[in-house]
Amino acid sequence: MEILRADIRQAGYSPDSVVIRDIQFTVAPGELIGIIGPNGAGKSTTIKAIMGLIEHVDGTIEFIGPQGNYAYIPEQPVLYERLTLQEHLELAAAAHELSMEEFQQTAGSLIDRFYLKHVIHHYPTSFSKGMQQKVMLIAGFMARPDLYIIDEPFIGLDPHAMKDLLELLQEERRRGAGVIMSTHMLDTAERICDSFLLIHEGSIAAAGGLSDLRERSGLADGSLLDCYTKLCVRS
Amino acid sequence: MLRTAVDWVVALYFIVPLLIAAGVIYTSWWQEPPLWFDRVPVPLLAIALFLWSLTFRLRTFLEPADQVFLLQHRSLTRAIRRGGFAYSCSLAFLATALLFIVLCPLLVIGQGWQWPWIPVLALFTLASRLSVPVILELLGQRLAGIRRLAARSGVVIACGFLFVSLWDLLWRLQTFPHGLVHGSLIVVFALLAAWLTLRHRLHARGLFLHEISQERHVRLRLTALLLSQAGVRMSKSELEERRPPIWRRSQAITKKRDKVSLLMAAIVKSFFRSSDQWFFLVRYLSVSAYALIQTSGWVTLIVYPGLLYLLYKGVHSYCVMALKSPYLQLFQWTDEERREAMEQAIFRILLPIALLLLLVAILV
Repeated sequence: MEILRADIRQAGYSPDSVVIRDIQFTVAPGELIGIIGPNGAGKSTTIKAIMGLIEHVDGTIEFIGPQGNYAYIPEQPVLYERLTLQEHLELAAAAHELSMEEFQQTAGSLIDRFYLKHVIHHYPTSFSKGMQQKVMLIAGFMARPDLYIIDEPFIGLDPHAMKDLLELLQEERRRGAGVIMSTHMLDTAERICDSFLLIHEGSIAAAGGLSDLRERSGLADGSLLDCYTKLCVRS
Repeated sequence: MLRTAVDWVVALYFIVPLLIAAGVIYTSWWQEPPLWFDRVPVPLLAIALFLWSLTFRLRTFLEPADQVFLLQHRSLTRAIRRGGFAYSCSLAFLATALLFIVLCPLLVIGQGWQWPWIPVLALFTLASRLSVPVILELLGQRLAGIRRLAARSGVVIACGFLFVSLWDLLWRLQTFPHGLVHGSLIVVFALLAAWLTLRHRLHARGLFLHEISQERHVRLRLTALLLSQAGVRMSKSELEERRPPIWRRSQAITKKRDKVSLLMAAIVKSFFRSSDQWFFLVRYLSVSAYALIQTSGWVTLIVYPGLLYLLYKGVHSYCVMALKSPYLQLFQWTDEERREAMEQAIFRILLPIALLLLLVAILV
């Protein structure tokens, strides 16, 4: 059983500039896939291609989970300048078609969890980067979708919020949600991801679990960073 | 290449004809003073010049990267800031000189100022221009909230009153035997006050980040103005207020909780919470009310829908921009939902304004 089936033959921002090519993978329920690779390798482009934000994609993307939906948490918080935190979340709840009871219950517990209750009627644009990132996380987690697509989720988060995020991810995976997560924090990724997609110069340099990467890189006891260095940087 | 061509087109077809027309009008003012010269009282011109003096902005030429590379080299930073201050003062001097050259016919022929008093008045205005905005800026950085507003308003009123009173004194000094000497002394004291203010501002501590932000604002002012006319907003580094001025507790503006209603509510709230949109509405309402007052009968029947159509176009472009918000891209909306939300939002924004204008049309 799968939640997402991606087969991107090639994709780019214009017909004559291909950024990524030959990227195939699937996401199973409860699976956490880490997309890793150097800056400019094509990680964000892969995510955008999956979400249909890139016009020039040759390939097929199928959301085949029970609900067929996803939640996207971007690297840079994107917010309305003149809406309060509560209004942002209400809008997200409406987009996900949550009932008022569902919204109050889910959003309420997430707001408490991320310590944002005291600023519920404030503009999030006046928040710090970390607090804005928490708003993005709440808006995403409120939906309880089949799949989470998360771009660099740990940037700007304080240690407590980071721990909460990891716990939330675990809870959602137990529920059956899949996660695609792009990150540079390889030590954390090594600890929580089931499998990896190493993207280098626009295509997959290696894919699979840590053992697959170790085998591919020839480093039997290597860490994810060692394998990454061998497979991506030194190639 | 294209840019050069565009510059030439602008110069040939707009700036050069504009300068020629301005020159012709200016010459005619000297030869045959227009009737409105007599209708400009001395205090009114003084108030106008004081308000103009408030538009001065100090340049520092500091950039965000200077936090990393220059902040620790205080002598370099001070040299750059000093250069910026000198540039700003020179520019203010030239702008004041130019303004007084333009105002000369009104001052000399219309109001009867004697020629030697023109440089005195110009230097007096320059002193106000170099001091009052700087004091306001310093207060803006030292105080916050209602105290800042109160202090700044107080300074504007007090300095405005002082400016107009001294202007009036200068006017009366014309008739005294050594009036020009006394008038010059007043100006020397005013310039001394301006110099002390600028000196204090130059040595003020803790304004580095403010100066960077101010410099960015000044540089992008024209761009922001042009883009705002097209409905594009330059992103601000941070909003001054943390909570909205209206719907402070995120109150719902519709009982419905479906996708379209909440999307509509988001657009309407964003619109009415934006000071830019209020500024646009006040300007629109002033011009529209004036147009309706000036017309009557069947002409009003044509003007009123025309005015509403103009407002519709303005609000429509705002709604289109709001619907393109990156936050909305995070979720899945159908085109139908977006269209319905936009129609409802436009209706809710337009209705009170249309009724207000209708009331003006009926009453007039």
